[in-house]
Amino acid sequence: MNKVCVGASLSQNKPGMKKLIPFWQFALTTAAFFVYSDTVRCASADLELQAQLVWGTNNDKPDDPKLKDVDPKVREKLRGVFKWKNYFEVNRQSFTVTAAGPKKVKMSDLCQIEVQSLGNSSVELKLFGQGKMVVRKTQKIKAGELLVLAGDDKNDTAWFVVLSQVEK
Amino acid sequence: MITHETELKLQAFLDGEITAREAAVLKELLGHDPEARSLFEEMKSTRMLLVGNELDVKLSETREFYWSKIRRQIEVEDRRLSAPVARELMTSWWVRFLVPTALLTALVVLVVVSIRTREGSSPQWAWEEGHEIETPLEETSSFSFRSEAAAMTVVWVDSHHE
Amino acid sequence: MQAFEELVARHRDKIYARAFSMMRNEEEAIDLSQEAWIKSWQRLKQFHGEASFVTWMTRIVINLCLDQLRRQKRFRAESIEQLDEESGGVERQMPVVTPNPTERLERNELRQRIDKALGQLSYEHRTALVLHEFEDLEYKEIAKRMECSIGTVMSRLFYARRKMAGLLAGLKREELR
Repeated sequence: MNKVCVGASLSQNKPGMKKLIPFWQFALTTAAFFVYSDTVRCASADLELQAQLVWGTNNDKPDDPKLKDVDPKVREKLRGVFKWKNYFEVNRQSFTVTAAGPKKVKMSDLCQIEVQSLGNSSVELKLFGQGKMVVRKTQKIKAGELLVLAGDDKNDTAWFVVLSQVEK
Repeated sequence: MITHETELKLQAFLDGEITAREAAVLKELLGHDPEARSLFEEMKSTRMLLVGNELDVKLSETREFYWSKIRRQIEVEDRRLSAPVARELMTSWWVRFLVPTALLTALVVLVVVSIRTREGSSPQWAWEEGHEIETPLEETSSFSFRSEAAAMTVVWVDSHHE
Repeated sequence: MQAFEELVARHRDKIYARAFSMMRNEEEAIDLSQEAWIKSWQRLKQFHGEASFVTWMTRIVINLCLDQLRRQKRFRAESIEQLDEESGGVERQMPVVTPNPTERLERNELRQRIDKALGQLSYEHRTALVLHEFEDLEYKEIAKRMECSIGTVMSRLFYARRKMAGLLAGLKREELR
């Protein structure tokens, strides 16, 4: 260890001394750069994702008769966490995201998501409601896992945006 | 006809909220006044019916969902309470030395782990999972939680519109 | 924190149930019960045994519910309530009834009937009844929590009981069908 540099960090105010970069600051910067570049090198390939807009309710039938039940796997997962009995799929979109730029996906007239790959199976998911960003979430999505954004809707129902990797 | 005041005293007698002297007076009343006796019996029956017969009401929310909001708010409160103490600590001269050293040590360990990760071992650090969340609108807030059983990460968005 | 989560998991239904019995609204009861747990977190170390902690927790959620009811002005002014009752509310006029033949009812059905009847009481009457019959609070304690006089508590309890007797007397008529 460079004793002069360490000493310098504790006595920066002494007149006449050269202002050297303290060793610990140098080491921190180097280590941070190393970790950052290491992370960048681990960036994965493009991600194939699926987004579902789901409506949760305790009614047996949806208000809109065109809506169908969400697939059983997703339904059981949602039931396991949330209180609603039934879950209906409003919209489903499949798309690919790359590190090159975010992908905008329209889920309904009022709701849009934007997904960006951050590498290493991590994504940044933004939810827009009526043009305004409501929430932004960064998350790693492994195969078989779900990232869910949710909130209350009127009459004790709820909306869900369910993001997952497309099963191959 | 008994007065309303007497009705209330009979109730207090039933509930044990009366002096011994007043209780004696009321016992005598109950002995010779059928109206008082009927009312007393009605109140007593109603009371007996209610005791132990409150409906068992259960929460419809799952354990994780219910707890996640509590935990989040507790963390906010804990941070708020420890903030002044943290500021005081930071001004200590010895802390100004220890903090960079600790940071350096942590980064060194991180570098070692990331090397091991490249060699195939599984990562140890939670932050690699990524748990950054932002809700920019004033009228909304959010909290997130993870259900391992459902292999699901949830962000619940609360709207504060009236 | 994990130990506290276990505590919450063990007793959440009880605390929620008390909030629901007072507010009669699921969303409000959930919010208030969660607020009670958050408030209790800081005070946890003051309790040696879990039983005393739960009793204290119940008091917290009751106070939160009472604050909410006052904020939402669901409690009428005492003077207005008194006028109502003095002018001869229905409960004062009703003949004495005996809600008796309940032993043939399944316990759960009885509890549901009682709960339905409780739902038909006013907030003031129901609160006084719940605090006295289910929480075993004395008149003085109820008066303190409801921020009213002991006389008002006694009146509210009296009318609540009379109304419940009337509502539950319907059980007898149905039994005879």
